Amino acid sequence: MSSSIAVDVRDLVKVYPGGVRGVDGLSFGVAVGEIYGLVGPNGSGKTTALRIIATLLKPSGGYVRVLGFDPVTEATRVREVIAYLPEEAGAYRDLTGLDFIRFFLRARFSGRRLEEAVEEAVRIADLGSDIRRPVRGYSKGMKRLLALSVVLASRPRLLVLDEPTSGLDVERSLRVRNLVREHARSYGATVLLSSHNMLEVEYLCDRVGIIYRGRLVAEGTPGELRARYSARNLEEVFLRAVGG
Amino acid sequence: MVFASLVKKEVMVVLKSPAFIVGVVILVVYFSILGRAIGVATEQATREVVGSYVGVVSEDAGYVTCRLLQLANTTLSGRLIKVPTVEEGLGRFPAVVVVPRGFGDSLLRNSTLYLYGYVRLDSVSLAQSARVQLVNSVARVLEELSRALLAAEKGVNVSDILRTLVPRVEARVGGKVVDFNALTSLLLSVMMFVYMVGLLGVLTLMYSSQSVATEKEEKAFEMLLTLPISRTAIAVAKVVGAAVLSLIMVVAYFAGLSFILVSIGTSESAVEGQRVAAAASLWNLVQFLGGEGVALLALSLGLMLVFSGSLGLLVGALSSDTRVAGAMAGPVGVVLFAGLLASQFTGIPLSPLSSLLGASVYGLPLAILVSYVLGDITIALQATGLATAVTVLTVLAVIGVFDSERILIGVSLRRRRPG
Repeated sequence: MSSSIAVDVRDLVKVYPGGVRGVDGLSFGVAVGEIYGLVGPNGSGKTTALRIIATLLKPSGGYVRVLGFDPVTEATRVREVIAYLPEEAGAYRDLTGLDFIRFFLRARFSGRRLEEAVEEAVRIADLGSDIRRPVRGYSKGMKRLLALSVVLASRPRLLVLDEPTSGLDVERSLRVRNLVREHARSYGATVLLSSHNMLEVEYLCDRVGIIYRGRLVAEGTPGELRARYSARNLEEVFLRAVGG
Repeated sequence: MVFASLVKKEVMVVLKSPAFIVGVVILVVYFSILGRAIGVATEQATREVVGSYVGVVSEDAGYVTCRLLQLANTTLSGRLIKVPTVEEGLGRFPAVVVVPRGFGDSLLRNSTLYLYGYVRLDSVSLAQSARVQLVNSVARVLEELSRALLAAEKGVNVSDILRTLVPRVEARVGGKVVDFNALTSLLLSVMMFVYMVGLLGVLTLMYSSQSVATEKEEKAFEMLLTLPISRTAIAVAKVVGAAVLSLIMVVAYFAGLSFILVSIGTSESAVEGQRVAAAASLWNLVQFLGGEGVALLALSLGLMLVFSGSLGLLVGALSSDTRVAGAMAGPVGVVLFAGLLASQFTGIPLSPLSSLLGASVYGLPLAILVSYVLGDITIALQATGLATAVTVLTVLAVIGVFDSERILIGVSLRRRRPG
């Protein structure tokens, strides 16, 4: 595998107990330092693919490498270099936001480096005095920012973000997108995100993979895809790619 | 550092929950009521036993003793039945008293009288231990009658006669003779220990199942599982955290129960008496079991905590949310604890087969008790081996589940919709 490839997925298959196929022959690659978006409708296999890459699920078949490591046999190595933000990630409701940040960052840092990471996460979350209140009083947007702050302050080589702006208002969605983009640019991190929001992906991602029924049906930069399908935006690209 | 943080988080996320505080209050009230109910049931059992027939072996054929026994039989409404030997008597009745040779002479010489009592124990239970009351009631009647007889003989007032009759009671257990007072204290101590351990176990099961299910519900579990921490460390931290929380709860329970006992005590001296009895009872337990037995009981406590915590983790790991976990862990805990509760009334058979109790882990302290009562250490060792094997298998199952994707997707009979 080339050292310039952060995520290498080939012919990935995931069959859940009961026979449902989560992904069915999915192939795509993400270059180091790139922001790559997997887009597709609900149930298309985005979350399944991200969970396999994040070592949470085991593939039924195919080939997956994350920064050169196998997520099944080298799961701990993969966890050391990635940070995963699940869809609707929450927090322990009876801990304060600060307790939550400190707990998660302690798994990666210690001593002075830990304090610096905590400070960075508090700055990213930007929750003011609410950071010292129990999470149970937080809004959905506040919880999302809290979880994202931990993921970004972990300074991983690969950020795996599942629907990072799902359920957020326009203002917070913009803030999250800007944070992700700034982080990737500042630290050279690779970002793999999923979304069913085509406009978001068009704004944020260097390259896009359109996933439908567990397979990749189109891939390229937003501009390439628009030109290839003679479309005005990614929504039209998607509809034409899946034959709608 | 990371492990300590894991444990601290496990404790703090629950300790700060209002549900935990409400749970403490509910448990204190519930077990206070339960303790009172058990007390009433034991009193009833004692009354039933006191109404039973008692075999009498008289080794003294003298007139005085025969007359005394006749009067005693009348006083006890004909509940004394003469039998030729202790063995035959214990075959027919729960208790036998032996009036020793020279009993009448001792009475006339106004020296201390001795009466020997034998009680048959078929199983280990509080109700069975009440059989000693049969012997004591016969002893009290004989004591009063002997004073009256001597007063008549000497032509003085009964209150002028100081008479002491000492009943020496032994229990026949599986062909062995055991000092009954020591055995009664032992039974009380072990039952206390078993309740405490059982309660700890059930609480640990509940907390560990909820720790996983709540984390899933709070949507923090997936983030936790992708941290560079071994899954085994996460599981062990959850077991330790659940054990710490259940210890806090059990301390609250016993504090609440002590408060209730003090509140319902008829007098300060009675309460003090209970405290002294409890302390003496625990000391008797330590003396009876010795270092080896106490170590085995301590091991049973450790096994119980690990087993319960692991069982809870399995329940939580395979549940999709706290409601499912609660619905699963609740009945499991109730069944395990109700088994212990029922054993107090049904009794534990005094036989080598009691080692099989170790397979439930919760029954291990009872198997150790049976082993020491029968004087057969192999029962305790076999039971401990069984409990250890079951606990190790449960831990291995937990590690397996935590390392698999089952921890995330749980078990569902319905077809899963892919994300």
